[in-house]
Amino acid sequence: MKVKVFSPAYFNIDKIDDDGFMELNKGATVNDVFKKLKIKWPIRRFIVFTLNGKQIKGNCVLKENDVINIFKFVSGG
Amino acid sequence: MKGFWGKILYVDLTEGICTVEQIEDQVYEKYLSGVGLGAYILHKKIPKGADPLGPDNVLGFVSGILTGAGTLFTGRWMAVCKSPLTGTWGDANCGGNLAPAIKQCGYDGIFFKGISEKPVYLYVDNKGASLKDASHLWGKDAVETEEIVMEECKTKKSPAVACIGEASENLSLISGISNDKGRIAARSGVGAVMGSKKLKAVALVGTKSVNCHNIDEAKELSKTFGSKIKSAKPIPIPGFAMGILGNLMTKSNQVSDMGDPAGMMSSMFKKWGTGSMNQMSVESGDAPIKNWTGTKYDFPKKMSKSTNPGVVGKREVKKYHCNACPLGCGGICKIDDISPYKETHRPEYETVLALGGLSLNKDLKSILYLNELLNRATMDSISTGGTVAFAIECYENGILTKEDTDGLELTWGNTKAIVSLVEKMIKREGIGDLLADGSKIAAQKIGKDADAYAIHAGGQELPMHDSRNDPGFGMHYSVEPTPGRHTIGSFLYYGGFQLWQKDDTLPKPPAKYPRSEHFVPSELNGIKAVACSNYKMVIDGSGVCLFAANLGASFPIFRYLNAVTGWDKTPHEYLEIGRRVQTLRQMFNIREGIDPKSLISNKRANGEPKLNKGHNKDISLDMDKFMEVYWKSIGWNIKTGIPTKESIRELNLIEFVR
Repeated sequence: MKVKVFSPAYFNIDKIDDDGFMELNKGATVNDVFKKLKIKWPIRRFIVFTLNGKQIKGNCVLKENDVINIFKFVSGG
Repeated sequence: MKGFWGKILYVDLTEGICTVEQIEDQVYEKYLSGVGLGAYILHKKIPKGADPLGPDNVLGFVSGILTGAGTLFTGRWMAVCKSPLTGTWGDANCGGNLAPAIKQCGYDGIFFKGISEKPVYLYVDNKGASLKDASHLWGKDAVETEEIVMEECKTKKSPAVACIGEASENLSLISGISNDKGRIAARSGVGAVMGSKKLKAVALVGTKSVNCHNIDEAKELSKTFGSKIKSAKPIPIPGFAMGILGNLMTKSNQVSDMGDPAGMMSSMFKKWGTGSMNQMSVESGDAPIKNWTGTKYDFPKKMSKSTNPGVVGKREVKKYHCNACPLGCGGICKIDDISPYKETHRPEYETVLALGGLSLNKDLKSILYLNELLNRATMDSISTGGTVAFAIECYENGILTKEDTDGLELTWGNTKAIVSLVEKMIKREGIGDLLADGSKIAAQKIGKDADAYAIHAGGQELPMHDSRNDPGFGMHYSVEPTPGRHTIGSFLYYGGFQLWQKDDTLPKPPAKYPRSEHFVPSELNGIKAVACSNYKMVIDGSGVCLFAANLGASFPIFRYLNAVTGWDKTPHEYLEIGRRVQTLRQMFNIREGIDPKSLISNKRANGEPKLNKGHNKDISLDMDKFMEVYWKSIGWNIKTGIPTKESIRELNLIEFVR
């Protein structure tokens, strides 16, 4: 199963392919995405994300082509 | 005509006469309004070689073409003139409630020439315009002035007022123009131009509504985009986390696609405004520290923590929105326990860093007090902070002595001395008089190689975004017709603007790519920078807030423009209008004898010498080459920065060639 993941580059984005997709097992949750990105505590506490445009909880089960957008904190402006 | 009136008010302050001038529809179609209309008018009205503080300079207050037409994020007005600070094209912009008020008087812009014999203010209502005596206002600060003018001009509708404070009256070349009690169009020395004209204030009480070609479509666009912004809840993390996240940003050597940033950017700005980034930017290497010689190790978390957004937020008593803004990044902070003033606008990121980390000042209370003091005096906090840091470095290196500084010990982080120095700058008192025109002019007067410590481009102090962290900022600091400007473009902005989704001639960045690509003066980077500046000219011609553009591709600016005006232009065609305006601003500089190469930023900001620690360690930028790739991409001579004949012909600007 593939889901689209927009992640800040300061996490481990090696598991995201050049088209922005991540390969996951069927039944995977958002927390599994975080694991692949190697987001650890306490940073995990500060992660703000949406699934298909809505803020939800991390144990939500994903389906093919879902879009996860992790807020990319940026400097500048 | 739709979205605009086709009329400007032209005020001759020497003669005391107000006249209305008609502007043909084609002018708007070619330049939009705002900065574009300003560039068109000023090119024609200001004679070559005019003294920026003399009667021939023209000062314009211009609204955007989308302002007041049922569109969101379109409440910004532009101040335009020849800059007395840089000698170049000058502009600055500001939000609040002034932009729609210009339109509601039935004009797209108000332009002033001449010099009044005595202080005056302009009053405009539906019936017309008149000049009123302002002798009783001269010497009063911006907040006091606004309150008095509002009372004097009271009608059923509350007047919108723009005015100047003490620094602008004193012709400080780093002064601006205030509206909404302390919000400032701060840059380019626009306040000094207003002061030189003895124009204390402008009061607008018109109630006219500008036409919109397709109001239903404009409303629908606003509804769809607005719901996304309105539904965003304040970001659910504590302020101290921002420093931790800033540090995290230094761990990556890659750049990734940010997806749709609209909702979450809104969440952050709703909660803390631009101050979200105060501590984060110190940690990430975005904020220049210790007059661009330092790093986060010189201003560690224990020093920067006083400015983290959670701490600043504790002083916030209310939030506010600019006109037509669904987000509301503004806030009011209580300061009656630490200053003679009751409250101040929540200080912007730029202010906090310019008066904080840049001089190693860790004292938030002093920053809040200076924020209010500068707002009331209408002095630019970026240039003030840059000039203070310059003076400190001069003092630390023995170029200025205690004798020169009226006894002030101008050492790094000496809060008391920093506060006193700013107070003196506003009043042009003692050492303050030397510094009131910014660091470049002060360095020229001081001599003794002081110029090495004046971190500016073309005379304007650099903002709080380190070129060595994002060279895109650095490129714009040096190539902008208004040099030293950060609100034009950067690689970060290119990622946020997402223009490739609307104009397929522009390059779409890969989902991830090495950050090292940003440090190469490549053709691709030139294209990205030009796309940013072209877009920004459209933004500034439309009265749009930069933060709306940073919300990504979902902000419907081009669809808004077609809906409001009735034109049928593609995004690419609008970006070409942006290129025309940018080129016209550059042509103004060429006409005034400015050598574009001379606007290059101080070499320290480009990594010479290199920093030996921190996130920007060992970075050095070939800024000459960066300027060349920008010039090549926009159609200016690659070696001189002068717009080529081909570009001038292509952009239909031949009428401005003399």
